[in-house]
Amino acid sequence: MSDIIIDRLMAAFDRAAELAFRRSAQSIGRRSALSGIGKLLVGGALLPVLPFDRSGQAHAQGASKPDANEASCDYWRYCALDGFLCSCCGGSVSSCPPGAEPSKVTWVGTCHNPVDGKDYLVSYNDCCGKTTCGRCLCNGNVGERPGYRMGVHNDINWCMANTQSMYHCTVSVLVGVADKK
Amino acid sequence: MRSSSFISLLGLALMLRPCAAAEFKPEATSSSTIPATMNRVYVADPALPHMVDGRVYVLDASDLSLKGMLEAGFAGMMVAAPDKHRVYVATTFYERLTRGKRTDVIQVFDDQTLKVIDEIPILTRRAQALGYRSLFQRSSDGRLLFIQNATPATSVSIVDPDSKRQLEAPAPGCFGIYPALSTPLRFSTLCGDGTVGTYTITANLRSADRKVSGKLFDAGADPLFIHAEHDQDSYIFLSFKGKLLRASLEGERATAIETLDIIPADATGWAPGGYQPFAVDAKAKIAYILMHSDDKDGAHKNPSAEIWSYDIGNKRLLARSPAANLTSLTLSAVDPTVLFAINPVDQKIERLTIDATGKVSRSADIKLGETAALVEAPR
Repeated sequence: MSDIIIDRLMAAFDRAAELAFRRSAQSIGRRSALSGIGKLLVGGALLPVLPFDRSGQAHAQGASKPDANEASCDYWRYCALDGFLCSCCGGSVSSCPPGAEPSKVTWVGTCHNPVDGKDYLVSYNDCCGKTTCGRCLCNGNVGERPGYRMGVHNDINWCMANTQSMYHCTVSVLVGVADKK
Repeated sequence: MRSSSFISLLGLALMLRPCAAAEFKPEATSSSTIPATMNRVYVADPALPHMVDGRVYVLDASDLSLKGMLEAGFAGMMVAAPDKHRVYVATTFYERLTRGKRTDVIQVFDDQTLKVIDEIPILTRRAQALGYRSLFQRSSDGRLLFIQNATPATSVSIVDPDSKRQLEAPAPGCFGIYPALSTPLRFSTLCGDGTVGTYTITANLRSADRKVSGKLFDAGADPLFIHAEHDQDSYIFLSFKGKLLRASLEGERATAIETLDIIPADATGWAPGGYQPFAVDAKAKIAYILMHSDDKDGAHKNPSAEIWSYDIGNKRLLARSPAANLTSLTLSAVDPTVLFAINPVDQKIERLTIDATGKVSRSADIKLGETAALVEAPR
């Protein structure tokens, strides 16, 4: 697993959050502070995205299945995805549907690929600016933590830092291979 | 009978009975209101498939019949103020429904007419999150409202709904709001490093002083759910692995009182789960906890298989009761033998009763909502 990487991310995330707040308090303005966060998170290649819980009829993520396809909640890279699959909404596993834009900040998961046996860091970007898709609700929570570990929290709208912050659906982008302990 | 023939006969009959029109009394339409004395259950549903249309359902606690609803906008959160006959809903609206300028407000509803009687503009930093209780709270005297913000930098807004005066307190790396039980100008928050931050606010809402506790929990190895309960003088937190942490949040710094392990040796693999995974009878000091078996990483929001009744005062498990598919649970504030729960699998709200031994059994349900996540029974 990638606890070391996640811890490093969390530390960076908290530093960014604190820095942003200080800037805000200094009246530099929220937009510039947010811009800073976005750069750090996106530039750092990893932070998480997405929303809510989708408690309802979502399928809880069990062990990923090698033969699961991208439209199935059992597909391995959805292990911490909580939201509507963009691949069911006109986009793909890694691209937003037409008219929707990827979130500037994201949450991350560490998911095991049963085909090659490796663990991957997955950035869950929400796609933003269109009405909620409503199809293929999944609810994976491997490694998910409450909002005091914001970078791995998935019960919040990760479109929150976008100019258009309406949540549409969620993509799963591979951003790295997790270190083995 | 042909319809044309029927209408002709009906017309003829009316003509032959001139008194009939005089006897007929047309109905008048009106608006219903909810009796002040009705015990209420509030169910917050963010309506995930169409999130701009969240709502809070208002049910009669006695039979779970639907009595009305409150508009909750996009990712709205609710807290009831039964002492003031108000329900507050903090939410977001966009200028063009799903796009355009974002406006965040607290809507103040009358709890009998269910009409918005006031609206308080707030910062557009409100956490657009699932409606956990700890993200929108009242001070112990009911004078202030506390709102969790996330941009994703986290802070807490303190709002006086009467004067509309507001203060924002930074809370980096922390989440969840736990108002002190006896000090209205104080609240705490859980932090990712395992500490608890406690804020003491000046009466004029000009500033908030923050003091940090020692490490009270391990956010990596055994995180605390952000849903919390309290007894008469302490807060009760629940960990993913089934430990209850009693903590005092009354002083300038939070302190741990005790940690209780609810999982007996013969119940390995069982763990708490859900979004509102437990409720506590503050007077009897009994916790009712949603439990599932075969626990593993990522199962902390799984629906229940059982409800466990745990006696906090005597540190013992009282009863295990079958209770499938529940993710949220609350205790009636007026009848400590009644629980209400959300069953998202069957999309039902359930009423459960507790017997003298602590056993819990279902007594009623209603099919309602789409993705309900928070249930409250405050009066």
